[in-house]
Amino acid sequence: MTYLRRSNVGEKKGRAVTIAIILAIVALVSIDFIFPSFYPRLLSPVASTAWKSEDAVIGIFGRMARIVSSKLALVRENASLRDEVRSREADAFLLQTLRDENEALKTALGRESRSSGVLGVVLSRPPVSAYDTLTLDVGSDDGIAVGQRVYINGSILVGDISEVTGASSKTSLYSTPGRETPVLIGDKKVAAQAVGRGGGNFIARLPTDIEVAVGDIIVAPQLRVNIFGVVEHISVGATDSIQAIYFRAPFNMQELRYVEVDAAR
Amino acid sequence: MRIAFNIALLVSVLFLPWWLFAIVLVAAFFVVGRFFEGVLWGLVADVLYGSYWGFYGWTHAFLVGSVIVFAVASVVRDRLAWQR
Repeated sequence: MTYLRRSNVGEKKGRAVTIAIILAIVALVSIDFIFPSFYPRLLSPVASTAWKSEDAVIGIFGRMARIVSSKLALVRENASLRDEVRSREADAFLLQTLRDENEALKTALGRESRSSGVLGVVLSRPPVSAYDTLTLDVGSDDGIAVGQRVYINGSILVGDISEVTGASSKTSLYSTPGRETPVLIGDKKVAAQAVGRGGGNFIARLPTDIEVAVGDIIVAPQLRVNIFGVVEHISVGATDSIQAIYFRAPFNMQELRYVEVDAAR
Repeated sequence: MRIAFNIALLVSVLFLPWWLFAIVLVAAFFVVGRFFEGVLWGLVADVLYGSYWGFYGWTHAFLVGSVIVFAVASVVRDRLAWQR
């Protein structure tokens, strides 16, 4: 008996299409490695437009929600916020006084901290980004360059510019998992390496004989007055000679809307 | 289904937390046969949010992860199809 062989033309065609698709994907991915700025220049304007329209849409829904909120709840919130503002006014005056004194001393010693801030709107932030990066709406057209430092509220140092296109830029936060940054801890300004743990969190390790307390301020070693983080928790085992210091940057990632890029460097 | 997953990935990569985007991407690889464009979505996530520092040094974590999940999903789908 003669058995007809099953035609494998369809299988060969399917295999050819699969191989062609795989080769096309390899080519597209290779472009990113060979020309690393090609895709950012292509995708950033499109993504920036989408993020800007997201703010407008959320704004509309936010306003509608506020209209239906209970009046009593709003009155209570208003009173609580007024109390909080009053309690912080005194600290704000003291901070400004100390800042002015610091700048005057530096000027007298011939070390003026030159800063030229560019205000940027945050278009995307963690947890949308897995890499602890912020996308800003300012780019090379606004004088932004790779390496410039990024601040919140004028003094909280959070990261530096890692990528720039014409109208947008990317900030790599110092808390990027695995990233190491030199810092100074506490009143005695003990030098240490802060290792990022993501989402504004850090860990540093110091010998146990160095005194560190919860609430100690951590700063970056630079001329401009800054705050890098605040100690939240210290962990040391009974037989350990090294203490693990957990600290975080003092800002709320979810409420982050504006940053200042120091365009002086 | 393929179009629906692509739309979901477009929305999630731009507006939703990265772990939601990852869940949708993994689901797409297992539900849709030969979801090659998933690898490109991994590349898009790396281009939009990646940096020199990467994720513990991995600058293309989403791209590498999507390739691995695509390979695993292809094997799993073939085995399930054979046992049906």
